Amino acid sequence: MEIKGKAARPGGEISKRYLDLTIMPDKSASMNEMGKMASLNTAIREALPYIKAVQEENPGACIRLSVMPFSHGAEWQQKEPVPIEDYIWKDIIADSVPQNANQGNGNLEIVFLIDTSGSMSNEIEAVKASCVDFASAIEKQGLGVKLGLVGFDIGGFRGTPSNKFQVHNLSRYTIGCWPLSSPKQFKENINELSVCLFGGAGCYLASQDTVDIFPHVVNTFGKANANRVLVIISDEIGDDSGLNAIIKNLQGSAVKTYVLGVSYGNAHKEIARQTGGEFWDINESKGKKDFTSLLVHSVAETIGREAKKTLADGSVSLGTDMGAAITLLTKRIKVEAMPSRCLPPVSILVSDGQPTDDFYGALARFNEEPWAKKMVRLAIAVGEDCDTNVLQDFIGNKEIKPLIASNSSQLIKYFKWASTVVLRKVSSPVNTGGVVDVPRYVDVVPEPEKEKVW
Amino acid sequence: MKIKHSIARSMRGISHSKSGLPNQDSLLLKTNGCHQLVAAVADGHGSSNCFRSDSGSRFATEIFASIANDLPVFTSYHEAKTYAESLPVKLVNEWKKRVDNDLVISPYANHEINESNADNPYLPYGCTFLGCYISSKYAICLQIGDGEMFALYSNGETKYLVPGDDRLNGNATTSLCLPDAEKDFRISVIDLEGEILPEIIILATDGLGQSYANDSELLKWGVDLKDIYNAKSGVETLETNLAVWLDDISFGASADDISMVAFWLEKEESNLHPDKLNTARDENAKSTLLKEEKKRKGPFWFFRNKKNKIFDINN
Repeated sequence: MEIKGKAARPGGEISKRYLDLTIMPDKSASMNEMGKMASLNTAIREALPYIKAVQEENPGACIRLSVMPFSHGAEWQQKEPVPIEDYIWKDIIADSVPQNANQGNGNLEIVFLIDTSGSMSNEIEAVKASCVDFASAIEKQGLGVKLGLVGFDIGGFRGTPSNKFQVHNLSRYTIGCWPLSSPKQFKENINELSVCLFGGAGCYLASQDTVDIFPHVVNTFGKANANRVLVIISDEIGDDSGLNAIIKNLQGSAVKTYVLGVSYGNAHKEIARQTGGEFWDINESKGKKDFTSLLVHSVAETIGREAKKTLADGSVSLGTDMGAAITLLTKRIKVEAMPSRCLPPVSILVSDGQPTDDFYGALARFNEEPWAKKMVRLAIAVGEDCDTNVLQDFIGNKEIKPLIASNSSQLIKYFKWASTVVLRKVSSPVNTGGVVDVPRYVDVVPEPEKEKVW
Repeated sequence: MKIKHSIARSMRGISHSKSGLPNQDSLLLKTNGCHQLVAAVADGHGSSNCFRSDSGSRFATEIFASIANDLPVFTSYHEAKTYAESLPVKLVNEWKKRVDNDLVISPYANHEINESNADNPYLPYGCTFLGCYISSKYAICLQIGDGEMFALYSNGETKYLVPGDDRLNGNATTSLCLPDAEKDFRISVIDLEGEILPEIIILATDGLGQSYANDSELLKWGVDLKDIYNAKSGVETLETNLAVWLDDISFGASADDISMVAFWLEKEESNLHPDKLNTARDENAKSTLLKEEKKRKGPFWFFRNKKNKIFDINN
């Protein structure tokens, strides 16, 4: 080191502490409705000057912004995080609404796979009644949904042969497949189902001998471009020996699966989780499940609006790939990609629906990253139809609740809050004795009911 | 092991200058001759709940200085380690006593009392602490909270002297003010008679470390300080420039207060250490060395920062 005049400063290159703010907005087609995306663009645009002000207050921090919209897959708007003073906001454009959505043309297909074994004797009538209610609701709303039915059991067919359904004797199980039909026909089909119709000896998903059921289930679905939803109803469970094969089959055929099953064991929950569906406990519901609200509202009204799309990697996207967004964020926060001495990153997830890909698998991998543990995670639900449980799971801290925006002004307020109070807290050079104390949005005055737009 | 040189500076950060807050760091450097040294830095938390943290950091360094006055001479590594492990409890207890006394003299005003300090009266005094005690045979290092304590070793490596702590996240830190603080200390004892020895030891509050994106950039301080010291007029360069460098760094990066103590160690021939010259024939040599020791005995450097003024208190 040459020492002349003012000596060269020891140590390496100095750097301000990076604070990476990531906004992950849902840009699926449903965000086009009722001005949701326009409001979100306004909210983020109006928040930027506040973020810049926080930056000026904290000369020791360098706030960098990244935006990653997601729908069919997820993509960073910029390759690298951009310092906030250089950031120029570019409006996000939501996917266009498919023209055939909600037009009664059968764009959504739902198949029920129902356990008819003896153990279902206490539940089967409630299950059938729930399915009938569901079909009636679809009929009433005129949604373009077709419904199929598959019964399964061990022991062989015990009913009267009918041309309405096909019986298949598989390696161990006997199944009966009713083809896709209108809701009206489906109501007749479901009434044909009875306990022990296909044997009565038990249904043990996802043991190896249940794997060959699923190609028949997949074949029950019709159009390749339709959104496919499978609802499995069973009160018994097997081991996981066939789980991977079943999931692979369902994922490969873009079948989102909901399971009304048993909470012990792994198989039922994993089938739902890994295909982007949801698990419900049959023992809590005794077979009675309000599929009308759960499926009509959350599936038909949301998934039905999204166009199915094959992505570059060959996978099929149903339109709200929140899991893909989390996977992309995971890559960005890997230890080797982050400066070791930056401030805890902040991320804001914004959505009006529920994930249609393997969100929980992506979240589990994300949670293993050291920086994910340090990240301050916030989530905003646009409208009350959003699955706030998913957002809560993303936040990963029960003390912090998802914010539910029911109109444009609430959305703007929430972004302003996140951009000022939260960022100021995280970026401030002051030390706090203890853990990072994430501020909570406690001062929100609930909007009057009449202002609920979404 | 002999102490060749030591230097210390504490600078107020730009964020505190802007907000009118004082430098909340405190700093201690005490060299008793060339075989014993006590150094410490403490960083008062800047949050609004920690409005007396400049006093808290001062208490911590003062207490460490007073504990160091009674430090025993260690005859084995085990003895030094046992003693080191007892230090956190002593330090925390004494620090809490100082805070209790201060609160008797200056109780919180009504407007200062809030939910946080009603639950934990020590919170307003919260600070981190990094301390190092060097005897001829052992170095004892202890740290609670963030900040940096590292050494350049004789094999050219620069490394941290106490283990890391995963709980230090962003601006959140463990602290003397928290319950069970004594359990949050990270401690190490270094054998100074080993093969590979620390040549320069640096203690700094987190304003320094937070000014670098990665550890490797920060740790360059070790080699650079060695080069500067060994250059022509190196000591003068250090004395003249350290404050400027720290100011530059705070201005250009963390904006936080920065306090630093650095000291240089060198190996000495073991048979020339005064403690080992016990025979009558060594008396002359011992007498000479003790004279040298007395001559080189440094002042009690205690920097107490108040409104960015630095006071030297000589004992």
